[in-house]
Amino acid sequence: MKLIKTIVVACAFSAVSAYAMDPVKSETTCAQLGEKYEATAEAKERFADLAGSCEGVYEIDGALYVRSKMVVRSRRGNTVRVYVPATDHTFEVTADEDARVWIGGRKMRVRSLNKGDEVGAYLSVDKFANEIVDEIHFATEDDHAEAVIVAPVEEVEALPVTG
Amino acid sequence: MPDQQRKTKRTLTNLGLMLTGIVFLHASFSSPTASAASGQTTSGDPEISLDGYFPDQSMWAEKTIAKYAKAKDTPGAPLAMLKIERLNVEAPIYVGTDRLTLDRGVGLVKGTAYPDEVGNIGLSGHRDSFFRPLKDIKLGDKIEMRTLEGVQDFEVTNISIVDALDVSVLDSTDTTVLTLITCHPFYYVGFAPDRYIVRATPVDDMMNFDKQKSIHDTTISAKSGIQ
Repeated sequence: MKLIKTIVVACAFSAVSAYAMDPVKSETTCAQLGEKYEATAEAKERFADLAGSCEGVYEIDGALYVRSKMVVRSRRGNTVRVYVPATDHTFEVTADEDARVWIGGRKMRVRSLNKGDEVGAYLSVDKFANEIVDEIHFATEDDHAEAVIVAPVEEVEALPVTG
Repeated sequence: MPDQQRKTKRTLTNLGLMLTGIVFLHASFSSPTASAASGQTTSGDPEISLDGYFPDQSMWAEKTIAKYAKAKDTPGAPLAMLKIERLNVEAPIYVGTDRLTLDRGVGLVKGTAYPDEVGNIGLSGHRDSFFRPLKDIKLGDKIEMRTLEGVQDFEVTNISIVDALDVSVLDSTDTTVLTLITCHPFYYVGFAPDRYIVRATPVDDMMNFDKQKSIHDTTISAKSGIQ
């Protein structure tokens, strides 16, 4: 069964500035999410693997998201291959020219990403324990919440991650 | 020769050949260099036992030692044991490369050949635990792989560093090849961008499997000859 989840707004860990979807730290903790996921054996098993990937729970426009990360494996033009530790899978996404990512508190073009960069990502709490990402929502120059660019992703083959 | 004598001789001959087989199998699985041995499950199926096994953790990162302690008793016997004597590496091999598997041993990359099959056998291990000693591996080093079928010896023929997306190192091969994979650089904060690849080929293709097989075959053919 293919599982689906969405990464919402790739942005840097530090200093997310005045953006309409500026994440707000939630009172919910990663540990509390773990308790929630103990509801099913499958989710519990997955969450045990993912616990280290949860770097905080944030609220964006009233919904809860887990802050995690993705690692840039390669980039050619606007096409980026990223490893998402929370899923242990690697994905390819081709972003629109207007798509932006937050790096060091500044909105940057996807072209500015380099191999090895670790980019912050927010994943829907409800789907955090899923394995497959199906799209990435990028920020734009526009600061309105709905002004995101949705880019579909495809899983790509990669060598195993060993620490 | 009377029938009774012939029967007795046949029985003794068979018994002798069977004992030879048992002694050989025992010697095969209780070599003084191996701390892991074959055992049996409660259902009676043979399996590789980890009784008395404990890896050398002198080069391991603290967090991986803790992870191993937590993961090592997970149910499920290994497929095989990997040993690199010069580097003091001995690791159980399990199927898959998920986090739990790599916390308790090295993982057979799905889609690659199994240890006693012909093809490219891809094994992945953590750079800060089981495979950290690979940083000191050299061309010509010997690698031993022990399965329930026997022992196969390999020799390191190539060492390279590739991009994490370069899956060509896992391409299937017509002959038996062992490919060890770990993240590179060995000391790196964060997700290491590259992979350290060690390629090894059988020293004497299926030598030990053949030895074991030949004893078994001799037993069968000798029996046939007598009957």
